[in-house]
Amino acid sequence: MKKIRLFLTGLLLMMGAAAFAQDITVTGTVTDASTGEGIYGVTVLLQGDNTKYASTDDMGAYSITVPADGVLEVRFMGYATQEIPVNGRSVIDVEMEIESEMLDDVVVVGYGSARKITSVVGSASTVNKKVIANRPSANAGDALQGQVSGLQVFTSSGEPTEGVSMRLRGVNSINAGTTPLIVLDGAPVSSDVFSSLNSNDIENIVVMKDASSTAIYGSRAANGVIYITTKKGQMGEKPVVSLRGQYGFSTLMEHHVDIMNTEQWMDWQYMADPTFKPSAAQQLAMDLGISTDWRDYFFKNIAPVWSADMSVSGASEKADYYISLGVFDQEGTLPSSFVTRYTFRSNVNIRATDWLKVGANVGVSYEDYIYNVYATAGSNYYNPVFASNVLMPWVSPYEIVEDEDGNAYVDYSSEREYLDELGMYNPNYLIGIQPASQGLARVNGSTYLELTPIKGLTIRSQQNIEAFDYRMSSKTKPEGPYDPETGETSAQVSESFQRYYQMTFTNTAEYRFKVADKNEFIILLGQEAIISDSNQFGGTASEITDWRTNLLTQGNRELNAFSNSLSASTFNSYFARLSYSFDDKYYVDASWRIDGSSRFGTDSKYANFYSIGGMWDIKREEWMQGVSWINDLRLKASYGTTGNASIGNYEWIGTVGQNGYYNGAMAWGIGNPENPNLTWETVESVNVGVSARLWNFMDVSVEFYNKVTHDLLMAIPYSMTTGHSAGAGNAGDMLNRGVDVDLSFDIIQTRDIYFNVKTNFNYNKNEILELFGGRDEYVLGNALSYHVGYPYGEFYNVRSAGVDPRDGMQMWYDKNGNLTKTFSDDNAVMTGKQMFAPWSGGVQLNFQYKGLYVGADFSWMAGKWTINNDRYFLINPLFLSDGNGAAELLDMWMEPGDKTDVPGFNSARNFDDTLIEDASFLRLKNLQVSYDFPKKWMDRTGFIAGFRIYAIARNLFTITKYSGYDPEVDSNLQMGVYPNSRQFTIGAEFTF
Amino acid sequence: MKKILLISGIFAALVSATSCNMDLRPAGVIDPNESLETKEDADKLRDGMYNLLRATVGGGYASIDEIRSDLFHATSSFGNNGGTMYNWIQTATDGDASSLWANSYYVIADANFFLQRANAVNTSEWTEQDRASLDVYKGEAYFIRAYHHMELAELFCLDYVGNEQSYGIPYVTRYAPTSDQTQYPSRGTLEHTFEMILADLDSAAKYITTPGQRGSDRITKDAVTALQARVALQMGDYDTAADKANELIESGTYPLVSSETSFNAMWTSDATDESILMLYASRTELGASNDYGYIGYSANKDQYSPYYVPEKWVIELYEPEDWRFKNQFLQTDILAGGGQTFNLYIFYKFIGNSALRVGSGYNYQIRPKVFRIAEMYLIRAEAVARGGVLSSGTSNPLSDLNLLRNARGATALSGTGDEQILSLILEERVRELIGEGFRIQDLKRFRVNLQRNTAQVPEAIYMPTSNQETFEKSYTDDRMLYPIPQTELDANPNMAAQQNSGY
Repeated sequence: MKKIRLFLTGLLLMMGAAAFAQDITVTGTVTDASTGEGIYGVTVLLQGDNTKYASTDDMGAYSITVPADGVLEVRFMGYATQEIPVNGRSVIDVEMEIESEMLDDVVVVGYGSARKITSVVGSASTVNKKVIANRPSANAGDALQGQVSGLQVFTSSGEPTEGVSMRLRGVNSINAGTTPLIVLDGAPVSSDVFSSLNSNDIENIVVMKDASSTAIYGSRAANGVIYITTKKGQMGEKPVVSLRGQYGFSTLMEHHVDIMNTEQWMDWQYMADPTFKPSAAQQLAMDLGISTDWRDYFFKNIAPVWSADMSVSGASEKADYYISLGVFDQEGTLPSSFVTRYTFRSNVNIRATDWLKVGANVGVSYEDYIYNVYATAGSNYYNPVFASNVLMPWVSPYEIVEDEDGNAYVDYSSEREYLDELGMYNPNYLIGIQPASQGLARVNGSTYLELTPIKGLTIRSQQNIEAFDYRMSSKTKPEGPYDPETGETSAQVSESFQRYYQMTFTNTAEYRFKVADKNEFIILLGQEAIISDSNQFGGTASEITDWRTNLLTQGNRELNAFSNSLSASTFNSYFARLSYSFDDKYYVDASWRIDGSSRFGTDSKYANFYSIGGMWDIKREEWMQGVSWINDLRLKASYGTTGNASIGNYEWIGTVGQNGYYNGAMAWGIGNPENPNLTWETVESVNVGVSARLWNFMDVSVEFYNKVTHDLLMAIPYSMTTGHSAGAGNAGDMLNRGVDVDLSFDIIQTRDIYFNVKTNFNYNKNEILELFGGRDEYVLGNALSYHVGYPYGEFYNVRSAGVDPRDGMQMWYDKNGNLTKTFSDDNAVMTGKQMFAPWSGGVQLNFQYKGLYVGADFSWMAGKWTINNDRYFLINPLFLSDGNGAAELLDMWMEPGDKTDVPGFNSARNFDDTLIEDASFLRLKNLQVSYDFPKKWMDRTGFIAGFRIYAIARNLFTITKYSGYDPEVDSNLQMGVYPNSRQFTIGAEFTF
Repeated sequence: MKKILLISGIFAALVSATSCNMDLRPAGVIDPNESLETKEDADKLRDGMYNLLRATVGGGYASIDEIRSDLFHATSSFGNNGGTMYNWIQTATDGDASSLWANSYYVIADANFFLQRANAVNTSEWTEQDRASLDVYKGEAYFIRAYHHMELAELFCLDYVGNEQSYGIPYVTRYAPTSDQTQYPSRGTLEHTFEMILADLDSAAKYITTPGQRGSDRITKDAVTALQARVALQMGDYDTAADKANELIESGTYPLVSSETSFNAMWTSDATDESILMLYASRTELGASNDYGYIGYSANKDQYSPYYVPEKWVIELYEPEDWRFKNQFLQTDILAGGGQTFNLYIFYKFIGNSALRVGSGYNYQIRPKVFRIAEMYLIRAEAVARGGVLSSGTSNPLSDLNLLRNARGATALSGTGDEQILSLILEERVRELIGEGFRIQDLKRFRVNLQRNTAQVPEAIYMPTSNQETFEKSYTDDRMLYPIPQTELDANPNMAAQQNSGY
């Protein structure tokens, strides 16, 4: 604490007031016009004489001695500078107005300076820092789930390093990317940025949905734009030091299928084969009462998660700054799964002269992590998620030993390395002898230079870099299956390195001017260039015979193998925007952008994108002034096009490449087929919306949209007789049409109590309008197909029709609805069940009573379906002879007349629609309770400005019909997916 | 104001400097149009064809036809590996057959690409010798094209004799990948397919001057002859089949082995005996293994847990002293479902060449043996038994069988009459070629039904009630043929209505 005091004292000294004996002494208080509170550190100076100046103290008071006819300039970063003639007065109080771009509710729409959200013509939603901060997840994007109408966010695994997938207003593309463009402080970045950001560094996130707000981003904006702004030093505050610590744990979210125990498993064997006799090992297991719950064995009950961070921020007349550092540490619920992340951020803005502003935002993160390699291995028996379900319960992972009297007992202190009954290693042992480590250093940095040569003209040049350096080491110890004498495969060591950078150079000129007072124009011209470059190399050494010599250089040299790849892409863009508004009532925005990308064919690299939008602030009309129950009312509409280039870097280029070696000589063969016409996928969209605040109590916003994706970037299937199964091309159209609704109710608004309920929802209808080659349908497999007139992602499968009680055989409907007992893919029909939820939304409750705050964020999706592939293994008698299954199998059809859903033993199980489960869900994504200790108490300490304690639970509960682990997984099917977890944490935050 | 101008000037310079090169090409690959200009280029493209061939002469091409036949039973611990094939419930959307379809056409496309470039390249600056080499390579490309179309015809078409006018497979002679559906081929007749195969083999014979050599890892004149023999037998051209097989046998280049040690060495150390074409392999260049979980050995636990074990009749087909039986079957305990152990014979033919192992583990790898002289004896015997006449000299089917059996430590057979001889030949083909992917094709050609039989140990197999005597499929069963992959039918409207019947 001493150090902090010293630090503060230092700052005070630096900025301390200095007085000069001169003509008259002027005193006064500088306050914030909106809050009435004094502002600390404001510069008051004599115009034309830089030697005469003063700064305000903590109460906003100043004192300066100046000529009686002088003019005071009162300046503070973030506020509009004021010029006040002294006119002989000795007391001058100043109320400072916040500059529009510094307001909380401003957004940066496209390039150029920020605007008040109320003057934004396009469609944009803001998520503020309160929602994002302190979430016990390594991925800040997870917090966005259910917050913004039309934005679907998924965390698809319990791996602590798992990223999020996002879609805005439906799926806009089939083969190209569907993730919105992420912009961090003006720089386009990859969506991975969410996992390298300290969530406490985020000021707000703006989600831009329609063409008017996104077309200026042209390329890559077809899926919408998510604009992240990080914190900056706040004006009107003393330098603020915050310290935060948080600790908690994760637990597994379990599935809802009852798995057989040993007794049930034995019963089942008798059912399947009345002559069944337990083997000696099975008999022993029953005698010892062994009934292993493998899920319990593999998953940790409590996996710790903690974080700590510190930030220092402040602002002076010339500069503002925000510096932070943080640590986040989380263990997964499975072994060999954790992340430790260190983050650093420095955001500095400097007003160097009246006409020059410079700044730098730099975020650096470093992650040490491991992910459980088997947890992504689907139906591999070493995948602990899959194994939890299917390993036989009578097998014990612990040694069975005999005591002195020859009585067998389970020795829980020693785990078995090999499970003879299963013919496999103990998965925990196997992963334990494969140590791995991964390191990821990432930097997101930007610098800018802003010139204001004449009033109204802003020339800005911004340089951004996003880069990472990734290293992975994975080794297998020469023991067990990798034993050099008796192992099945050789022990290997691998090291790999990857480096990536993307540099973005953006140059803009913006000119604002007014004509005849009420006509305001903003003209923006700009240019942008992006270079991305990735290179990777790795080495693998085999036949490591001794663990003590396990370097890359210490394998069998004959078997050394390398990997190496290089990849780059470039974008060149030019853009312009004209914004016009009349009397703050009528707004029109028009933008145009030309984009080129190296990813497209020789003659089709460039494309044009444009938009036009308008807004009418109805409440400002004279005739509305009398309508007191309407506080705000606006109407907006836009039309435009945006592009999608989220494909591989070289898909259009035909290649011949190495396909291996033959007898030691280099071998070449055909590679990628050429398509010189490959070009941009475009989305043409219309957006119409109305928003209002009514009775000063309720906010409502409704927007309708219609988007058509043209020239879908597809892997167009080729006849395999060409030598290729598909090639990149542009074909087909797809529709997304829907509505976003946002409602907010300020239920209680008194001095001490604030209670607000917000809700949002989206309905999106997707439809494939046209397919490649003029066809009506194209079957993909895995119960998916493209059908013109149907949504993309609707399952195409054979409908089951129950079990025939006469013979226990599964029945199906054929295409015409007749019963059949022969399974055929030809009987597949569109099932009306979609993998992409058409309905989604969220509910947020915010309650505040003095220092106590309770916030609950619910999110939900409806009409979401998923194939529960895990179940296929659990209800299939095939796998029961050497595996485990669901207890429901005990209800299997046994003899004529049995009425059951479970077909008889001899009825082959198929991939029919019984595996497609309703994965709609309602989830309490976040529950937060916090308490701010009264300021009075804090003041008494003399140096602590604020103290807050809080508790947060993530994924506290979920309501769903889905029987697998997690309905949130964003996939058409789930097979051994590492399940999401639940977190409980408590934390404390000090500010000084 | 000066400063502002200065900085604005710098600014303008920045803007103009930050436009980037849009003409980027991937690293480490070659523009197809410039990929064959020199002899060295031709060498690399040629080795590329061999590399692809090595991966596609065994593996699934050999195994999936075996595991669904009457030679093997799935064990109770087979974990549904190969289950759709074994249970005869394969559909047009299953991956097994469609990957064979895709792989064959990929190799064919690569050969066509080579032929196009080789015909287009200006060789006026090349040496005479290099031009001659290019001709040989072209011959090899024709051979590969014929070989893979033949593979496809066997997997996806009816037996040739009597079905000449039924569907063949598209015979592709041009590399021109496109999404233009009008360019896609249709199936044509089986007769046309075989005409094209013969034409390509004629071209191969014309261009390939490489003399036959035991264990050659390059396509020789003899390899072409061997494929011609196989094709002719399939087409019912028994004179040619007998002649071609006879040519190779009589050349003396590939004598049958005379000791058990030499026999075993063929399979466990890739001794060159009897091999007409045996592609190159090393620890760092492996082909596709013919093993399909026949052994499942864990060295660490010294434990076998196979997916598939031979049926009892297969075991009984051999004399105990037959080297093939002694070396290619192993009596051992196996770990089956539910942790139970059973003692039986497992199929041990593809235990692999230990020199190709990486580490101590078994990878069941050998150098892929595309043609062996033993098959030529069986072809000559069958062709003559079916009425083929040698153009010079004579041969006797029974003595051909006995020559082969003598080289396998088995006693001579006796028999009379074509019917009986043919059934002896079919049995001998099982003994000699088991695991190499001939069985289904043989049943089609011999018009013999597929009949699963008693298991060695019924408790050890998967669903014993339905996979023993009650499991019978006619040789005309629709599923003797694989389905044309649904993805092909969907992508190619010219084939959409040409699916094999029953799918």
